[in-house]
Amino acid sequence: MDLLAIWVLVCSTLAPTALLGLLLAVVLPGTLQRKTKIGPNLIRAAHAVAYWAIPEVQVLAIIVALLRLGSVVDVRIGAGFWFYSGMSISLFVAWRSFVLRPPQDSSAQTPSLP
Amino acid sequence: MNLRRRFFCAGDLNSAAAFSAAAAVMLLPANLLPVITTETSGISRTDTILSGVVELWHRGLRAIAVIVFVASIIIPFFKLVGLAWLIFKAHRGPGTKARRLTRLYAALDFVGRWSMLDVFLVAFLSGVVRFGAFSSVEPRSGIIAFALAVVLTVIATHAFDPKLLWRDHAGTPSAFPTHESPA
Repeated sequence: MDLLAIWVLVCSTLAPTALLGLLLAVVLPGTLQRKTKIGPNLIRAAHAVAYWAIPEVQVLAIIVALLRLGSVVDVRIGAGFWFYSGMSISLFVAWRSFVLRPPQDSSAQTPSLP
Repeated sequence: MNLRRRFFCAGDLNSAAAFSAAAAVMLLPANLLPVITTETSGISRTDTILSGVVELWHRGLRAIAVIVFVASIIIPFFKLVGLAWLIFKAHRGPGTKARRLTRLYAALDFVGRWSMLDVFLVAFLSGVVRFGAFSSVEPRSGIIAFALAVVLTVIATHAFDPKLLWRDHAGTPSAFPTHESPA
C-alpha cells in the first residue's frame, strides 16, 4: 500500500506546500511587472498544482477518523491538528480569492470587450 | 487554460469522454472490492465502502455515516452523470442553457475533490491504529481502485473545456451571451 501512502503525501503535504510557495512567488511585488514570462508560468503551475492540493479534505478525514476512534478509545487532539487545519483554511481562502480576483498583469494587454 | 491545450486537444470532447468512461469502469471494483479490514480483540471484519457506511450508521455515528456516504458514493456517481450530460450537451453544440451548464461544470469541479475523503480516511486509520494484538486496520485493494476512479474523474473534469458549451467546434461564439437581447 505504498501507492496509497505516496498519494496521501502528495495531496495533503507536497501539493499544498508547492501551491503555497507558488502563490507567494506570484504575489511578491514585481513578479508580474517583469517583462519575462515567469509570472504567467507561475500562475499556470499554481493552477496545475491546485487540483491535487486538498488539505481541507484531509482535515475532514482526520475529524471523521478521530470521531470514529473516539467511540472505542480515548482520543486527544494535538496542536499539530489545529495548525494543519489553520493552514488548510488559510490556503483554501487564499486560493479562492486568487482565482476569483486574479492580480492584474500590468505588462499584459487587457482584453477589450466587443 | 494553456495546460489543458497542451495535454488535451482543444475543442475535443474525446479525452473528457474517455477519462469519464475509465472512471465509470473503475468505480465498479471500487464499490465491490473490500477497502478496509479492521481487527478488534481478535475479531476481523472486512468492509466495502457501502458496508462501512452501514456499520457507521449502526454504531450511532449517523452524521459521519451521511458525510462518508455523500462524499464516497453520491458525489462520484453524480459527478460522472453530470460530466456525461455536459459532454452530451457540448457535443450537440451551443444551446441557450450554456450559463446554467457552466455553473454545473464549476460545481462538479468544486465537489469532486471531496470524494478523496474515504481514501484519506482509510490511509489515516491504517497509519494510526496500531494497538498491537488489540486492534489493527489494514487497507485493501478496493481503496486503490476508488482513488484511481476519483483521480480519473478529476482528470476528466480538467479535460472538459467549458468553452465548448458556448461556442461550436469551429470556435464561433454563437451562444454568447444569451441574456442580452439583440439591438
